[in-house]
Amino acid sequence: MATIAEYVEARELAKALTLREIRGQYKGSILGWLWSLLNPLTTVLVFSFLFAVLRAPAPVGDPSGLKFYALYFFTGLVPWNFFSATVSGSAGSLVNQGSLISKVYFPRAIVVVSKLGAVGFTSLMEMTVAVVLLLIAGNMVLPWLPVIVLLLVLQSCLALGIGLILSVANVYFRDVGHFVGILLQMAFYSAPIVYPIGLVEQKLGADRLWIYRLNPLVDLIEAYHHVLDDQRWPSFGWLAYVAAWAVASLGLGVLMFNRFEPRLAEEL
Amino acid sequence: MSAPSEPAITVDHVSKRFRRYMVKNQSVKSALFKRSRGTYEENWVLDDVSLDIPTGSTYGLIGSNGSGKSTLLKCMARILKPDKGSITVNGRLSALIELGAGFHPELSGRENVYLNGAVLGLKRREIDQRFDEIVSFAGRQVSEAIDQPIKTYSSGMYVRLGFSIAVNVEPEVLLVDEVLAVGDEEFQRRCHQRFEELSSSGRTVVIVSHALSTVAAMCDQVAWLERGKLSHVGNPQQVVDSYLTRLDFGNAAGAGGPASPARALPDVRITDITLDGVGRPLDHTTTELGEQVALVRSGQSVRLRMGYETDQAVPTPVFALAIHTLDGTLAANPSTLATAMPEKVDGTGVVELEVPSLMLVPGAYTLGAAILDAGGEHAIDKKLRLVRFEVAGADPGEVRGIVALNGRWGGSLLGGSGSGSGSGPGPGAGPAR
Ligand SMILES: Nc1ncnc2c1ncn2[C@@H]1O[C@H](COP(=O)(O)OP(=O)(O)OP(=O)(O)O)[C@@H](O)[C@H]1O
Ligand SMILES: [Mg+2]
Repeated sequence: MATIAEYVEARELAKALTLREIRGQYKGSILGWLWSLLNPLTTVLVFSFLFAVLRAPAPVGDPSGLKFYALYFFTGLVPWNFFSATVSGSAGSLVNQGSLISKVYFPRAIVVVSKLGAVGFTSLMEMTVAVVLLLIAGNMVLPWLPVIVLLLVLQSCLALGIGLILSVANVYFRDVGHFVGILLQMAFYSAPIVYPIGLVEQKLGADRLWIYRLNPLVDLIEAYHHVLDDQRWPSFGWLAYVAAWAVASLGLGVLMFNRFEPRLAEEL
Repeated sequence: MSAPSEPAITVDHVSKRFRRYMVKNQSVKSALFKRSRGTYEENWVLDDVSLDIPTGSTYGLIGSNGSGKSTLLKCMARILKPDKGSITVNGRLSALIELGAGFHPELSGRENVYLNGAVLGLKRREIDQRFDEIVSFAGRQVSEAIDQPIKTYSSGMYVRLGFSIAVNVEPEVLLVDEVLAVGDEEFQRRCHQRFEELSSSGRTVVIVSHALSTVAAMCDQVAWLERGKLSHVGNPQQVVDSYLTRLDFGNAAGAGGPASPARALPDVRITDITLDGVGRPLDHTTTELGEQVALVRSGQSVRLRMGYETDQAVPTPVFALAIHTLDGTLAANPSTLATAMPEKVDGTGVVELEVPSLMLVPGAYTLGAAILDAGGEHAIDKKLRLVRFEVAGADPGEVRGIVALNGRWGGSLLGGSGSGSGSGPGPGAGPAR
């Protein structure tokens, strides 16, 4: 089990591995990280087109400072991508770095942390684009940036904890990786990204909405919508609930990772 | 740095076991249904190994494939965790388990130097200082391609760069697994030079290698691992020599040994092989490993003897003896092929070869024996390199080659008109008697 001091010692390696992830990803491509933006933008276009064809009223939530469905979708999609890419990337990370792990000693969680770092970098780019688009649309989100940073940190803890657990599990059972893909797809539709939370409220009734909100992803994404789309405070009660999940996930992740860390090199 | 008296690495009763899966369940489905991760057996790859590696020494680890050398090295490097015992390392350690660990094929050589340096524990600033040295040590080809992606490098260039980084980060303890043989002649020479520089500046180097002559030449001490147990530790040449002797014996013993229990015992078996002096007994010498071996004077007369046993009467086979040098060259191979023998052999007995003058140059040799079928084509039993013995020279002017002519020098310079007749029986090195 690696000590805290070792992690401090290895920060240089964490930095180098993160940079390697980022650079390796876009090496040799002309558009570079623009590709990572093109991906969510395409999704947004496809869904907007769908709603236009169906002549459905753009579901942007109520009350909402936004008129464009595409923008509403985008502000939910960016944090979602951060979460989902971190979780799925972490799941495979230890196995992918097998050659490194079996040849050098370093605190192994660095691999998962640097994955988070690399995905976080891409997500910051996307978030910057989202903020610019919102400013163009007339939403003054700049004063709210500290809240967004706070949300990003909260979400990082949640994703990191899950990532730590999945990364070890995937060493022992390789199909965890595939399984995660399917779960994430389901999770995507479980949160108010494609649709506003009001839609669920209509179907479920206001007094039973809490069942839906038990999923911590719901209020995480909803908080982004509140801050980015409408510039209002998210529900603190539910945010505390999300934070509890984040702390629990990180705690469990660290526990489980430390337990299996010593045998990783031989199981890979 | 630690006090000079303190060992750089202390290995204290270390054992390590691996699970060897018969059927490995790496899918959740099979794990759920069978409620286990597959059947496995545990085998101890390291068994109670204790070592002290002195600070500033160059230390060699040898042993056959699968004997646990890499596993021990990985335990030292903390990549693996011992199941029992502990390992203490004094000083910053860098392990070269495989070259270029952590190279990323898409990134340039330059970026990879920084990445690899970080993997080996260096700060960015420290790599900046060493960058030029690393690249120039790696050679011209590499320095010209330093901004090209690593994937375009030849495997030799890849190896050069990885090695260059590892030796130039100046670790206090450097572990090297199987890399001496990679790279071309010129690069190898520079590697050795760098190892020497490291150890002369008080760094500790631990080398795992199958290049035994290199190990013997470079190391201050050598440890020999056999099936996870420490077999010998000590003087490099001595350990390497006895490793070679045992290695050959081990291979030959496979014929009737535990490796193939199903195989029927041969009709005729070699029971023992001995070497004696004729007229007066042989001297003995003790190797540094504590082994007693016979010492023959070059030109002395000796008797080589092999014992045999049979289960029932069999037609007489061909008996042969073999003397090998330690590097495996066959020095002599007398046999009874052309010697008149009785029709059949039965029970136990001995076959002797009296050699009037053992014409070998000083050095270490092994004696073995074989029993072949009547035509002399197929071996029925074979025990090669079973007995080790040493030959001491009479003439300090004749130490190289294999055969000692034991002649007498003459000619006008030496005053005599001597016809240099040797004391040996001439060129009768074929089937004896
Ligand atoms: N991760 C692992 N899981 C299970 N068994 C392993 C593992 N790694 C090594 N072993 C086993 O441990 C034994 C020792 O392996 P090791 O690599 O230490 O040998 P070695 O002495 O380095 O051999 P070589 O000279 O071939 O490099 C072998 O029998 C090998 O099969
Ligand atoms: Mg090995």
